[in-house]
Amino acid sequence: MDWRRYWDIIVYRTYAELKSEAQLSYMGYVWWILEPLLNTVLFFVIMAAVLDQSISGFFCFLLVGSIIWQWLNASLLGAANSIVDAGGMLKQIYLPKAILPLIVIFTSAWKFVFIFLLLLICVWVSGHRPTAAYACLPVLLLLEFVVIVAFTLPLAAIMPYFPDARVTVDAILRSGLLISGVFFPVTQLPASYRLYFHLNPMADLIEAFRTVLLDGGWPNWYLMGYVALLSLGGLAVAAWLYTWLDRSIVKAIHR
Amino acid sequence: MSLLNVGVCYRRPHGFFKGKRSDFWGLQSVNFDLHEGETIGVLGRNGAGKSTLLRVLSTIIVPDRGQIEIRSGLRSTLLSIGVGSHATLSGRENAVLNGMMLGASKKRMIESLDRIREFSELGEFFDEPIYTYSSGMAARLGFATALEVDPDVLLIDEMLSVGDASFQQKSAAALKDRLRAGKTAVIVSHDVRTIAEVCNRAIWIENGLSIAEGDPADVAAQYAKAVAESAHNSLGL
Repeated sequence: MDWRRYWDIIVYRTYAELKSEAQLSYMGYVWWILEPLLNTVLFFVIMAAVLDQSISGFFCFLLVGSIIWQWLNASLLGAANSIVDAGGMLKQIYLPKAILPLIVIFTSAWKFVFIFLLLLICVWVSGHRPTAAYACLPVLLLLEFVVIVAFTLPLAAIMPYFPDARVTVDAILRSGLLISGVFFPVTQLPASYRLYFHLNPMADLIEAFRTVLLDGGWPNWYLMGYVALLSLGGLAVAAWLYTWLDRSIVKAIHR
Repeated sequence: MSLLNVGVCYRRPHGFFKGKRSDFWGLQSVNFDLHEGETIGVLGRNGAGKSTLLRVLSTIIVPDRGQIEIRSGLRSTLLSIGVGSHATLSGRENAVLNGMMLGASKKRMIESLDRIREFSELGEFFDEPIYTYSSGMAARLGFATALEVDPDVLLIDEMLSVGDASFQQKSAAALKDRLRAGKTAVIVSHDVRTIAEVCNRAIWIENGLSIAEGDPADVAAQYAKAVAESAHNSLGL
């Protein structure tokens, strides 16, 4: 019975977050699409113009990588402090703590829907037509969603205990952007590094999205299986953490 | 619900290089039973552990020592105003959201919207976003909502007084009606009059220890005497 109520709270708060984001700036919803797009253009200018990165169709290549990456980036960055920031509220009422990062995750997932549609349009306009491989897009999207949940929930739970982590999240995400292959294909790496590259689930996902959207091929299912297993492991850790900390985490929040 | 030697320990934040960890027991040892239909008053000065006790009672934290027994499925909720509200949502939407936060189902809150609207005296503003509200209006909405959520055990931190004089009277009266009608409740306060007036039983806690329990008038008198004495001493009279 309570699960129903918790779900209703998540839906209501997600709706409220989206509404307030749209109302509190002049351009409202436009930012959902403009922000990731501007970031991509910035990357493109740096990479293509300054560093003379000359893969043909580099903009589409970059766009796919950057947008897939930014979904994770926005969720992690937004949710990291979600429990700490709700300290005042959590000291008054009992709520399962996972609700707070989940609200952020659902908010950015909803915004991602729009930017992903724009991504599809960009890809079509530049001449990459839909193929049968599009059938696996829902699986890939679901997989990335699970990866996001599996990374974000544990992070938000340990934040109250290690305030220093606040400083490192930013740095880790920035290096994540560099090593996840947003800017380069795996084929540019020396063979000896490729194994390590594929250990990073985001690198595998970005590659899979590119294979489907740009090459019209099917993703490497072994790698996708690895990503799924890894994120299930992350979810198990999250479940354990949240059960363990549920009724004591409030004491660690000093605000 | 029963508490036996309940203690709660807070760890003060400490750094790697700052030596030993320091622990602080917000509650040392508190004992009491709460029976159905009973209103218990908890008296204590600032820092006596009253808020920590409320957090234990509302199951936000589990005690670090001692035992707390709660009948399974029992919902005890702190009567709090506007918790989790969102400035861009309308009064109506916030009422549903607040109510769900406090433990009521969405269906139930939607059913009680008319009563909330009436009690909060918001009129047309009920459908406006709450960033347009004055603080008094927001408090009225919060109180009206909290009153509709009917937990098994009502926890009250100080008798709430919100809004203008007439709304204060109305809200206090509504709350007292609830208590007289046999609502199980714990009221925490440092106001001896309230406790003596509405409670069936009172407990006095000091430095996280329960030191007196019994008839509200008696406990309130003892507490008032102790407070007066320490004030007297600290003034050096």
